Amino acid sequence: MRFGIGWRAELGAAILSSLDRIDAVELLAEEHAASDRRALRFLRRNVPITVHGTSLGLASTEPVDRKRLDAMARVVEWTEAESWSEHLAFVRAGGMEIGHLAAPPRNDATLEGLMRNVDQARRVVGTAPLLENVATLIDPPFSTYDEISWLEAVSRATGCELLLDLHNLYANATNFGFEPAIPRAPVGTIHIAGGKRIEGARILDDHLHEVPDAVFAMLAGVDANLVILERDGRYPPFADLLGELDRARAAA
Amino acid sequence: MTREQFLAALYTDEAFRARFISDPRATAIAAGLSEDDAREVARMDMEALRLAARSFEKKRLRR
Repeated sequence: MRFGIGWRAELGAAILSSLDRIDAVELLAEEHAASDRRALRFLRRNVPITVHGTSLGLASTEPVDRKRLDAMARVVEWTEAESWSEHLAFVRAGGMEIGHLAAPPRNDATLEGLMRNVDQARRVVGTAPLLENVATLIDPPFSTYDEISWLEAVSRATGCELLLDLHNLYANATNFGFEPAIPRAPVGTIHIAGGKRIEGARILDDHLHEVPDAVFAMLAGVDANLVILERDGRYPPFADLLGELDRARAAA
Repeated sequence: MTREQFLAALYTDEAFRARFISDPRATAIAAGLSEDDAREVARMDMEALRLAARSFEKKRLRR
C-alpha cells in the first residue's frame, strides 16, 4: 500500500520538499488551471499523480456535462495521471448549481444514470474513474438502497473500483446510526480526513481537522493500492500531516 | 420538477426551502412530485436540511 496527500497550493512547497515520505499526490482537477505549472511539472516528473474531480456530478439521472468531461480528460492527460476519480454525487439539476457534492437518491434510476455517465466518462477520458462515497447531512430521500448496499451495487453495475473515503463513511454512520461496515467491493484508493461535531451530534466532513482515531482503526480492515490524506485548511505544521501519514502506514 | 431538481431547489433556493419547511407536503405537490414522493420528503429532517443548505451556500460563496 502507498501513502500520499492531496495537493493544495498552501502545502505545495512542503509537499515538494517531502517527496521522500510521500508516495503519490492527488491533484484536484478543478484547481489544475490555477496551479503553479512549474510545481506541477516537477510533481509530474517525481511522483505518481492521481486526479480527483468534484464537479462532474456522475451520480445523476441527468447527463454529465461534456465540457467538464473534456476538461477532466485534458488534466488527466497533462498530468500523466495513474488514475482519476469522481464522487458519487449530483451537483446540479435543471440548471441549478448546488455548489458542492449532494448525496443522490440511492435508487435504480440514479444507478442507471450513473452507468450512462460513467460510460461517457470512460469514452472521453480514456479510463474509468474510481467512484467515491460522499458524506452527507441529509439521508437522501427517494432511496431504496442503504449506504453500504448502494456502494456494492455501484461497483457491480459500473465495474469501477471504489475510492472509499473512510471519514465520509464514519461521518454518515454517525449521522444516521449505522455500523460503518466496509463494502464488499474492490477498493482502489482510500481517503482519510477529519471533520467536526456540529448541532445534534452530527459530523460535518470539513477536512479542517485531524484524522480521528476511528478512521485510523477502519484502515486495518480495507485493502487498497493507495491511501490519500485530505486536508483543506487550518493547516497544522506539515510535520503533523506527515505524522498522520506515518500513523496511517502503521494502521494499515 | 424531477426529484433531483426538487432537492437542488431545496438546497439552493432560500424562499423555496422556507415554504417547504413551513408546509412540506403542499410545497412538494405544487412542485410536481407525486403523492408518495411528497409524503416521503415531508419526513425529511428539517434541521439537517437547514445545516446542509448552509454548508452548500458557504461552498458556493467560496467559488
